[in-house]
Amino acid sequence: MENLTEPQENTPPEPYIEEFTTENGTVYLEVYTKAEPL
Amino acid sequence: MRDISREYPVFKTDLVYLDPNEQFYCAIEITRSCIAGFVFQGNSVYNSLRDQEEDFLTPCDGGFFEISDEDHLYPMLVTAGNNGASWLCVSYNVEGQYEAQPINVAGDYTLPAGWGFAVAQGEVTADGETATQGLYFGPRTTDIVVSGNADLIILR
Repeated sequence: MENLTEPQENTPPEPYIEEFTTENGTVYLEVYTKAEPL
Repeated sequence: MRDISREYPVFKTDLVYLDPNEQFYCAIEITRSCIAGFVFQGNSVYNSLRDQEEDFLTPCDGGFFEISDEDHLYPMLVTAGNNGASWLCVSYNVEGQYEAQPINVAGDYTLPAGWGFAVAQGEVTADGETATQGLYFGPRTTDIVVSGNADLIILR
């Protein structure tokens, strides 16, 4: 197995963060923001 | 699981990260508007797409993928490999007909008028803007030169 290439993360301004657990136990963390195209 | 989600007026980009061997059940409601994506090299993602006859496994070891209209009809189970998994997914917010194509930029690339792009990985500059991973560059009315080194998903 190759090493994981961790993607770069661009931190959006003032994100909305939501965390919840699905029925099968998966912890889901979403960082959401509205953005305008470049 | 982490999802860095950016919603643009027409498209939405999601950078998704799974821990090693983590599974993510993707319901029909989530896959409905996803049109294409890019799995980052070094990860293994297994999509279990339920068709009308039986489940089947399709390994995806990196690169561009498209989600067909038929795939939208079925839920999907994604299982990360031993080193985890990550990918970029592009969805639309507004119903319509869209096209997506993978482009690897190494130097200069001429983006045709009317096409925008999402950056899967890498960085490019175009029309005075710098576009990095997960960002969406909107279409222009004329051809423009995109410079840098990146994997893009061009969209229209």
